[in-house]
This record gives sequence, structure tokens and C-alpha cells, in this order.
Amino acid sequence: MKVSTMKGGAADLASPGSAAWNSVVGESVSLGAIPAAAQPTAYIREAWAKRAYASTSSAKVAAVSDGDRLYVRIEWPDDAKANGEFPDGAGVVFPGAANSAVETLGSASAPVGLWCWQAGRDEALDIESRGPGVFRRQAGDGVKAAAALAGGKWTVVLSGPAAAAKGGKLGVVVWNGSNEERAGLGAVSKSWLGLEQA
Amino acid sequence: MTETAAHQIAWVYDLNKCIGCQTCSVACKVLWTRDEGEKHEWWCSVNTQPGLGTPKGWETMGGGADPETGAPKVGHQPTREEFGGGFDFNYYEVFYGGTAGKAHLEPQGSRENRWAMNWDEDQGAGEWPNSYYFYLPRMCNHCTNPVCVQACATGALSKREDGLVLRDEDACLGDRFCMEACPYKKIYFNYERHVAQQCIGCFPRIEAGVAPACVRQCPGRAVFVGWLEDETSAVSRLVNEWKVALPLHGEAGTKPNVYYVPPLSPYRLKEDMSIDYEQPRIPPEYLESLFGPEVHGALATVKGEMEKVREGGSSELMKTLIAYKWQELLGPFTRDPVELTPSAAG
Amino acid sequence: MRPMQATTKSQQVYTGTKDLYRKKWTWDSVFWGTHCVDCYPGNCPMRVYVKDGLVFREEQSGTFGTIEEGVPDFNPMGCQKGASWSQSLYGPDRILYPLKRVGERGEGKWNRVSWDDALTDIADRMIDAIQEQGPQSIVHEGTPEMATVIPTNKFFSVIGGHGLDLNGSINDFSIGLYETFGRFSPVSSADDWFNSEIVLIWHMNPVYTRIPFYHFIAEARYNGAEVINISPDVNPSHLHADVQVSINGASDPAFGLAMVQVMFEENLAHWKFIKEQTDLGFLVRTDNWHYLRQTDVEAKGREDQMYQWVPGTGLKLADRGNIFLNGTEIALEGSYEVKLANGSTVTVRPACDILRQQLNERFTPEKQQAITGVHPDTVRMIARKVATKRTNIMLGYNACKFYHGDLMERAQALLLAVSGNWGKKGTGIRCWASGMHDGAFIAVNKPGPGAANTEIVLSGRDAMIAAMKATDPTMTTEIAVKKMGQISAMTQRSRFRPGRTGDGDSGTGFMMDGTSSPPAFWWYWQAGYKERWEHEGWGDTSLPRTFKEYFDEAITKGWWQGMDHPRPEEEPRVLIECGGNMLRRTRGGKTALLPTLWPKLSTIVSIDFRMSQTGLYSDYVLPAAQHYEKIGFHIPTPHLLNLTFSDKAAEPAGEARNEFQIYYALTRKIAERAEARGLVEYTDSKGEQRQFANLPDAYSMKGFLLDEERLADEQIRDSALAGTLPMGTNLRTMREKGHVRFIDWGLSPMALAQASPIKPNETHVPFRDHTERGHPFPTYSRRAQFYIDHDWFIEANEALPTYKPNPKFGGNYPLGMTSGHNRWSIHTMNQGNWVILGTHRGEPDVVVNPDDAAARGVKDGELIRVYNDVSSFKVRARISPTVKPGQIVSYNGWAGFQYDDWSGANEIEPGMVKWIGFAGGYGHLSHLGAEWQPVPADRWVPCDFEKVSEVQA
Repeated sequence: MKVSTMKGGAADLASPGSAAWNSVVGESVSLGAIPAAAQPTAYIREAWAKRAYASTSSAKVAAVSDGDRLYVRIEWPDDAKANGEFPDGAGVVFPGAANSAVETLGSASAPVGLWCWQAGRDEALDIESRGPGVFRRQAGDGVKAAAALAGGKWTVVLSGPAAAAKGGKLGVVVWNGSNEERAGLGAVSKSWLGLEQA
Repeated sequence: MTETAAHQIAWVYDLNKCIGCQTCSVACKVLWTRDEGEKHEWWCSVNTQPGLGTPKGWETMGGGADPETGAPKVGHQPTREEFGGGFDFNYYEVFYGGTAGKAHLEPQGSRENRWAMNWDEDQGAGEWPNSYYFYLPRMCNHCTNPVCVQACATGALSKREDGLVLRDEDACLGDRFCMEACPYKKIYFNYERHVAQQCIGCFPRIEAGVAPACVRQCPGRAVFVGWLEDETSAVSRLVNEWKVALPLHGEAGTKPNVYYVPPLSPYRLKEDMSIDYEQPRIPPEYLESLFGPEVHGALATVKGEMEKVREGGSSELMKTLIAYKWQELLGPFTRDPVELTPSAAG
Repeated sequence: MRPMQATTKSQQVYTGTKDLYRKKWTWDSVFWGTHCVDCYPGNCPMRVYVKDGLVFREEQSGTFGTIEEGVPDFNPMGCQKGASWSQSLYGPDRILYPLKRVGERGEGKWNRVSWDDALTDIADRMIDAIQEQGPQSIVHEGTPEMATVIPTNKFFSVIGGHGLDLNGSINDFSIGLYETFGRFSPVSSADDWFNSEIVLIWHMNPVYTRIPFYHFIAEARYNGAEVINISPDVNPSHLHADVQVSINGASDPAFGLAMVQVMFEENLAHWKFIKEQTDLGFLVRTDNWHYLRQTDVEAKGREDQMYQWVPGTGLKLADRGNIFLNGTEIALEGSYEVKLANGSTVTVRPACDILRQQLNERFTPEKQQAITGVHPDTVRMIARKVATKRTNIMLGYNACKFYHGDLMERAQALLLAVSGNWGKKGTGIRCWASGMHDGAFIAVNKPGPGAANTEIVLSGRDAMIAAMKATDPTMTTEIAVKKMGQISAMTQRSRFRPGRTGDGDSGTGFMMDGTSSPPAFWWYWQAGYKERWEHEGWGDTSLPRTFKEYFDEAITKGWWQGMDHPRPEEEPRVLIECGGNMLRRTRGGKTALLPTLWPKLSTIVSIDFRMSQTGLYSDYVLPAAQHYEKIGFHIPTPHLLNLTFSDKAAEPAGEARNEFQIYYALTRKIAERAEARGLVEYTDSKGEQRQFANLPDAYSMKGFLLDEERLADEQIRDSALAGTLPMGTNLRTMREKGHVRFIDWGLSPMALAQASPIKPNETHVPFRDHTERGHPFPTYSRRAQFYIDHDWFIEANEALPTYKPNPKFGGNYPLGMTSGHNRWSIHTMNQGNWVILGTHRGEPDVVVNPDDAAARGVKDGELIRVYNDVSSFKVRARISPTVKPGQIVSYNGWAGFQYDDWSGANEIEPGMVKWIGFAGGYGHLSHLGAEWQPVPADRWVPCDFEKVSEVQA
């Protein structure tokens, strides 16, 4: 995926509905489930063994840098069902090591970084993930998120230090809150998406 | 993975002393849950049994573990609506809004499916004149097999050396598998801070030698606290020696460390209003559903010792339950908090 | 879809959970505190924790030692209200600034005004009232809490205003106990409950109302006691009882009398106890059913001198000075011929003989079952136990609120008498009493500050008591003090007017240059109750005459002389509610008072720390300091026998001031406005002149009362000088210890009424002076009096305890509404506390039986209208099988503004007083502050309910 650079448009880029995104070409990303057997606790494995999750099959991803910050836009169709206790969410995944796996959201030895947005939550989270749902908040600052729900579609922009892109690839994760998806139950990129400077 | 605690702090609630006054609940609330997003949280709460309690219908929400294999059992995610409460009130409108009585002070929001921590207070069961109920205080059971710890993906929960199950709220990301797994449904979600929260066992007080607020502030003198492994402690004697203090829903398999002396109740009345001395009005089978088959022996012991004293005898069990000196209830945590210097507290 | 609950609030920043929680439990300073309101017994010593100048929480102190070995201690006294009191300190119902009504009364529109503007207007209205109607047209109702009653009564004393006897308004007056014992206030210390073998919970609900003391009942049970709960509904206190006696509403006297019948029948009665302690051995004439009197037999001597019958010897003058018989046997049975001074012969019988005939005719266990629904076997079982075991009747202030509550209590007292159950540990009955902190009142009423002035008061009151005793050497101190009080109530003039703590009269003398009266007359003449009490069909059909005939006779005979005010022409003009809450408290509420009393009042002022129902209908609401913001003491009580100290932990919030400062500022403003208006003096109701310019100094005792620390210190020291606190007790020692046990009773009637020594290492049990020393009772007969031969009682067939059905005050309806204090508030105090509101449904309800609800198509939580002939109110239904069919339970304490139209349950209460409660001119049936007076009934109010259809918003 090409990452274009736009100088001076930071404020606009942070907004999902901004015209600044009109010229940015995104890519469709195929999403899948992390198998129940790979979930980190016996409880989660038991509870979700026979339950469908990762219900979002694909998302559209685009990225722009302004030199300092990287902006990643994720779009996917909202599940029209009412949310119960859990919010919809989305995240951008970056490799934390050379051999980090996006499709499991990292592992104990090869973590991934995760910028995370949740509906109804002001702050975005900067997380280190060592497996599905094995998340830990990082001290890292500067991750921001903004979201819009329109026409049955979520548009979320997550942004953070441009250095995050230095691994040259990213992935995404989408949680359908109405299906009680959270932690390792979201729909995750099946493979890394390579980044190239436009 | 569960570590076996070197010590285990345990509570014993004597349901023959509890009067449902909610002082434990309120003491806990005023001390710990007054901040953002905590209004509906009652880490300690008292419900009328039989009843639906808090969250509404918690006894049928699943969770826990298979007592044999330890395998987790799937539970329901208790909802904000099922917990209820945390109401906002229209004070300003009533006092200063110029409505001349058209607005009165009442909880705001929809009445549909409204519920609260103590919604079914004193409603009870049975038919007059044989209606009945009793009070059941509940808090985190600081289980020996804490399924919440096991269910958590982020490792936010752990069991300490003193046996308390504590949460690192920084590590909690609000995924709430713990809430599903807990068979007692005594974990709350803070929707403002996006973390789950539950009883912290008043660990800052315990660390300072001061009894937990629910114990030290119980005017009914109905709660004992102490080390379960200490054979001389009141909690150990009540649980292990006399076997009159029983876990609640032990079949949930989590090995809870809050125990209950089950309630006696007045005799039933017969059709002609005469007293049926053979039957307590709380059905024993109902108590068995809460405290297991051991409840019958526990009740027989309490009643038997009580009879012994009535006939002029002496009973160590009765003396223990009386707790002539208040400090006897506090186990080793007898320190008066004002002895702590302000800066040393906590 | 909907997003999760959105938040715009900032996220809390913290470095670690554990440190966060450790930090939460830190503080800057700690103070002693308690909740100086009309929470009785109250007196829970708390530690109040302050951080950044604000109170952030409180916790029970747990600092009581053991009083008596083998009896549990008092720790940790407190309840959920006390444990969250801090949350009402800065709560949304707190009044922070003076408020002036704009728009109509009760419209709910206010302007914030300055203290100066508010006081100027109020002072002008008061001066107007003084000029138009005299200072007695400035009235207050008050509250028992000392922190408001002392400054309030001082103000009314200084200006010559008029107070209503509070116990008459709230009706915590146990008439039946009073009729029997000559005082209504025997109170064991709560730890003595532990010593009981039988606990009869009867017209009390300690699970709700005695949270800090309930453990003594539970522990007594573990100590071998049996607990028996007697109530129509399976009320919360059934919980830890062995036996629940489900009794028909208002039928209790029959149940009690049947137990007495069993004791007599089975020869279980304590005959010696009956003969000595009671009047049941006194002879009654069978021609006119009056006692046989010395004046009958000798044509001279005392009219209140009665006789006993000694078999073989004949008449014996009943000793008025000592009740012991010292081995002399007297008759309790039989009939005897006595020759009278006029030469005629009359047949006399011991009162006991008449009683037993009545019991056998009407109140066998079998016959009582038709009245009470209680099985005869249950009556016999309990009677046998009570007769052989130490029995304590846990009586609340509930029976006294029934129309025939006196008959209930008289039956209870009789049960104790016949079973020998008073004057020893683990026995007795309870109501309420205060007193002991005599210094609190001496200090504010002595000629000036300092111990020398205290000595003047103390020697003065001792001399007056000695003088009174000299008129009749058989008087105990209690009887002498009581007699002086009754005389001064009649004259409204005495400078020695012993009263009680709650009335502001400490029993310490030098009080009240104002006037006060039982509120019954106020209601009748000023508040529209004439129509209610004379209402056809609501009255007492057991009596041969109409209400008006009884009332007029009482006035004509001068039984209430000096107290039968305000007359119709003596309209009130200014009402000051300071801690009181008339619209919530008065039976009838808005329905009764707004159309009748309110229009007469030019100004209504509420001085309070929170908005109340009365505040909403006032002209001004002035912000008072809350309990943690001023030095105070709780109403002392024999339940605990401690003086409990409450310190000033924080500055008053907003512009709130303590009451002394408010009243002082008002006296200054009155003086200032009077001067501006060219006024110098006025005449009070006694014809004495008062100078406007003198009011500020008279009020503040030249500034003494405004020095909070000094005043508190002198109050404590004065109690030590009066002998009720250990010598050396002062403000400093109170700040160290927080509470201190009283060593003596002092001179207030309710304290003296305990008639027992305070023993340092023992529980307190009243009436030991009677059982151990033979002291007489302060009744007409000088015995526990079960035969009241007042003409009205004889006419009513109530000379002896009996049973009568509840009158249909409010109309002929199928249901009876009962009440009782709730669990969640102290009256309305704490109803607005957000923490407490979270412990229940957050709004009022009434509890109804499922069958009654189903018959009216009502489901749990639905809105119903409860109605009778008087009025109606709307409330939610809580359905519970604990309630007896035909009963609805409206626990009280909700604020009016928590109901639709701000109309609460008291709106349907007609406030009927027992007609023969206007009796007087008979020994102890004579008014003394808080005691003998007509009081309103509000239990088992006839009513019905219907579903209200709601449109869901």
C-alpha cells in the first residue's frame, strides 16, 4: 500500500470525513478469525469454541504520513445489530519484531504494536500485544483516534508517530461489539500489508 | 494458573446477625467507589433472599468451574441494565425549577426493566403468615480457585500472598471475561474508565493492620475476618472446627473464601394459626440450594448449641458467635485507623 | 446501532492501581463526630476524616470499653446513614445561600439574597407581628436535636415567642406507659437487652430502627434468650425471631390481656410484686367505680389517699411514701363492706378482682382469638414463658400512634406487672428518655458565664426542690420536679420550669420566658382540625358523647389552663422552622395546613442545611451549618448513658452559619429595625415589657454564646458541676475521648424517671428504686396504676386496660395503612443522600399484599393512588407476601417532594387525637413538657388504593 506524504494537512487528516482523504487510495484488506484454540485462556476457548466471531470479513485501509505522524484510515460496514455491553472497535497493527505475526496479534516472543480505537471512548490506546487479547498498555504517547458512523459504515482514523511505519508493514483488526467481540475475538488481517513511500 | 496463597484471608458472615442494613455496602462505597463511573458499583452489597438480587438473576448467570476438573464454565455477561442503579436525580428541577410540585424527586431515565442493587428488598417469598426472607451480604469471594484470574487475557488479575484477588487496573483493558467467568457476578464494569472493578479486600487497611471497612463498620457485629489457616482464628473455628460457616454456591467450584453461617427462621404456622414446631419457615431445601447439603448439619449444630444454652448449659460456639468483645470479630486486624499518622495511612 | 455510553470526561491519570487505592485512604486530620439530629437513640461516635479542608468520609470509632463483664460491648455503633453522612454535607440538596421565595409559596422559584437583605425583611415582619399580635404570634415547632433546640429556644425565650410541644407533634409519647407509670420514659441501656431470657418485639421494628443496637438481641438469643416478634405483617424483625406472632392490626390489647388471664388462671402471677408495685390491691367502690378515698371514709384527709384491704384487719391506708408492704398481706380478691363518713355502706373490691372478672369474661385465650387471630396455644405458651423468665418488651414509638395505643401499652405494662418483669436486669419495656447533660442548658441560661453562676443555678434549683418536698414529705425528687413542672406549665410563668432536653427545658431551671403549649390546641383552633376531629363517622363510637362535648368540658374545667392557646383570635404570624419540618411531620400535611394555617402567616422561615418539604413552602430558607460544621452533642439517652461529642471538622459550606450566629444576627437586626422605626419596647403575653435594644445582648449573653469553644466547654463543665459527668470533664477531655459515660441523672424529669442508680460497671435497668427501695411511682395513686378512676375513663369503660376496635378515622375503607420508621433515613434526613438513594429503589413506595394488589390489577412497581375521605396520594406499589392481606405499609420518612404533587402519605392522615386524651385535673394526667397531652393517631388509617394509568414518557 502506498503511503503518501502530505505536509501541513495534519488537522484535516485526523478527521475521518475530511476532504483531505479524497485523493488517498486505499486497499481492501481481508480479515479472519484467530482460532479458538489459539485464544489465551481456557475460559475464552470454552466460551467461543462454538460461537462465531471475527464477523467482519474485510476492511478498507488507507494511510498518509505528514512526516511526523502516520494516519491510518479504516473503513468497514457496521453490523446493524444493537451493541450490548461491548463497543465496536478497530486497531492498526505494526510488527514489534522481525518475525511478528499479524494474524495472531503477535506472540509472547514476537509482540506487535496496536493502535486501538473503541466507540464511545475518548482516548485511543497504544498497546503492546503478545498474542490474541494478550494486551498491555504502553507508555507510548500520541496515539489518537477519530471515528464517524454514516451510511452504515464506520470510518476511523488512527494516528501516531510516523516511526511506527518503519517496519514497513501494518495490519488491521476490527471488533464487532454487537457480537461481543473484544480482545482476540476481532477480525484480524490475514497477512501484513506492505507499506511503500508514495 | 493459580498460585496457592501462603495465607488466606477469609470472611464469615453470620446470617443470624445480619439485618440487611447495608452499612457494609455504604462503608465500602464511601471509601472506594465514589469516583468517575463508579456510581452503580457496590463491591459489597446485601440482598434479600429469596430474590433476584444484584445483578438481577445473578444466580442463574453461570460461570465458575467444574468442581472436579476445574474446567471453566461459560457464564453470562451481566449487563448495565441487570445491575441497574446508579441513578441520576432531578434535584435542581424539583427545588429550583418552579414546577410547583409537578416535578418530584425521582430517579431519571426509563422505568422499563428498571433495577437496582437492592431493588427487591424485603419482598421475600412464601405466603402470609408464613412469608419469609433473610439477608445475604455479598462481595468478591477472593476465591482459592479464582476463575476470574484464569479467564483474563491480559493478566490484570492476580492472587496475592495474603489470598486477596486483586486487579491491576492499568493492565485491565475492559474485556470482561472475568465478569462472565465469575459465578457470583460481583465484578462491575466502569463505563467511564473502561475497566472492570471489584472488592479490593481493603488491602491498604489490611496492610496497615486495620480490618476491612465491611467488617469494622458492621454494626450488626455479623462479620468475622481472619486467616483461614490459623486454627485459633474465629473464621477457622467456624469454618473448619464447627463447620457452621459454609461457602455460598460451593458447587460453582471456585473455592470461595467468604463463608456464611446459615439462617435459622421462625417456626411455620399451621392452617389454624397454631405453631408448627417441626418446621422453620425458610424451606431447608432452599437453603441447600445456596449452601449445599452441609447446610442441614450446620443449622442443626447452631440450633443444638442454642438449645444447650437455653437449658442452662455453656457453648463455646455461642460464645464465639456472640463475640463479647468487638475486637474478636476483627481477627488480627484490630488496629484503630486513627493510630496511623495521616501520611502513613494507606 | 448505538455507541457505548459516551463520555466526555477526562480520564483519570494514575501511576498504579495499588498506589491509587492506598492514596484514597489518606487524610489530613481526624475529628470526633456524631449526627446531632433527631436520631434516637443515636449517639454513634464516629471519626470524621478531613482532606483538603473538606470532610471526605467517616467511620465508627469503635472506642467503647466493656461495661459489664459477660455482656457484649457497644462497638461499633453506627449505621449506613451515619457512615455516609459526609455525602449529604456537600450534596445537591444542601442549602448554601439565603434563598427568598419569588412567585407563590410552593411554586419552587427562588432568588439568592444576601444575609442582610433576608434578615432585614424577616426582622421587619417580626416587628409587625409583635405590634399586631404580640410576640407570641411568632412561633416555632422545633426538633429535639440539641444543636438547634438550644439556640432556637433561647431566641424564643428572649423575644417571648411561642413554642409547640414537640412530643405532641411527633407523637413519640407513649400514653399508655404514662398512664400506668406516671412517666412514659423507662429505658434500659441497650446492652441490658442481652440479659433478657424472653424478648418480645412488640410494636417495634429494631431491624430497621435500632441498627446499632440490634446485635444485643441477636447476641441475647445466642445467650439463651427466645425472641418473639409480634406484628400483623411479617415485618423485618421476624427475621431472627424464634416465633412470629401474626396478629390482627390494632388488636394487641386483647392478646396481652389474654396472657395476663393465663397467668392468673394458672397461678403464675407474681402476687407479691402485684401487691407492692401496682394499684391492683387498691379498693374500688362498686357504686360509682371510683377508688375508695380517705375523703370518703374519714370526710377529711387526702383525696388521693387510697386503701388496701388486709384480711382479718380490714382497711389499710395505702402508703404514699413507700410501696413496700413489709410482710403485710393485702387482698387482691373478694368484696368487702366499708362504712363511709356519711354513714352509708359501700361494697368495695380490689381493682385486681374487677380486672380478673373482666379478663375471664372477655379475654380468655379462646375469646381473644376472635379478636386477634392468634391461636390460644400460642397465648398460653408465651404467657407461661413470660411468667417464668426475665422478659423485656421491645416497644417502639408505634403503639402510641394508634388511636387506642394507650390500651395496647397498658396491657403490655400489665403483662410485665403480673409477671414481675421490671426493676431487674433483662426486664422492662422501653420508650425514650433524654437528659443528663444538664450543663448544656444551665450554661445558656445562667446569669452569666463562669462556674460561680453555675453554682447559683444549682443551689437555686436544689432549694426549690427542697421547698416542694417540704409540702409533701412522701415526694421523691422526681415527683417534686414533676409537680413543679406541671404548676409552671399551668402558669406559663415560672422561672423554674423543668422540662426535658428535647423541649429545651433541661430540668435545670431558669428557662423559657416564652410560652409553650401542646399543639392540639393550635391544630384545633388555627389549623382546621376542629372539622376533622368533629367529623361525623370518624370518631370514637365507643364513647357516649361527641368530641365537642369532651373538648368543651376540658376547657371549661380549666384542665389545660394556661396551655389552651393559641385561641382562635390569637392568630400566628411568623413561623420559624429550625430543624423542624412541619409540612412533612404533621398528620394531614399540606391538605391540612396550606388552606388553614399558611394564609395566617405573614412569614415562614426555614433554617436548615438542606431543602425540606416545609422549606419548599417557606418564604425564606436560611442556610445552617451541618453537623460536621459546628460543635455539638447528641441527645443523651439511657440507652447508652454517654455524652457523645461532635466537633467542628470543617468550615460551613457556602454562606451557611451555625444557628447561634443566625439568631444573634436576627436579634441585632430586630433591634436595628425597631430603632429605625422609632420603636423602643413591647409587651409580651405575660404583660411584661421587653426592650428591642436589649435583645442582642440578652440572646448572646453579651457574646458568650457566640464563642463556640467557650460555650461548649462551659456546657460540659456545668454538667460536671451538676454531678452528671465526672469532675474534670471539659472540652479538652471530650476532644480526647469523644464520649464519656454519665455518672448521675441530673434533674430532668425523663432522666429522673429511670428511678434507678447509674452503676459504673453494670447495665442500666429502670425502676430499681421501686423494686429495691420501695419508692412510689409519680402517678395519682403512687403505684403503677392500672385502674384510672378519672370520670372520663370510667365513662369510656377504660378505667382498666381493655380492648377497643380502631375507629374509622378517615372513613369506612377495607384497608388499614400502617407505618413505621424506614431503614434508609432519619425522618427525611438522608432521603436526598445519593449514596442512600442507591440502596433502595430511589423513591417512595408502599408495601401491599399480592392478593390485594391482584384484586386491583396492580403489579410490582406500578403507580397507585391511595385514598380515603381525607385525601389521597400517589406512590409506587411494592408487592410482598410479608404484608397481611388488608394491610398496606407506608414506611415513613420520605420527603413530600419525593411524591407526585409533593403529596406524601401523611396527606391521608386525619390526625385524630384520642378524645379522652383531653382529660386532666387528675394527678399525673396533667401536662408537663413532652408528657400528658392529646396526640395524633396515624396507624391503621382506613384507606383503599387503585391503579393509576401511566403514560410512559
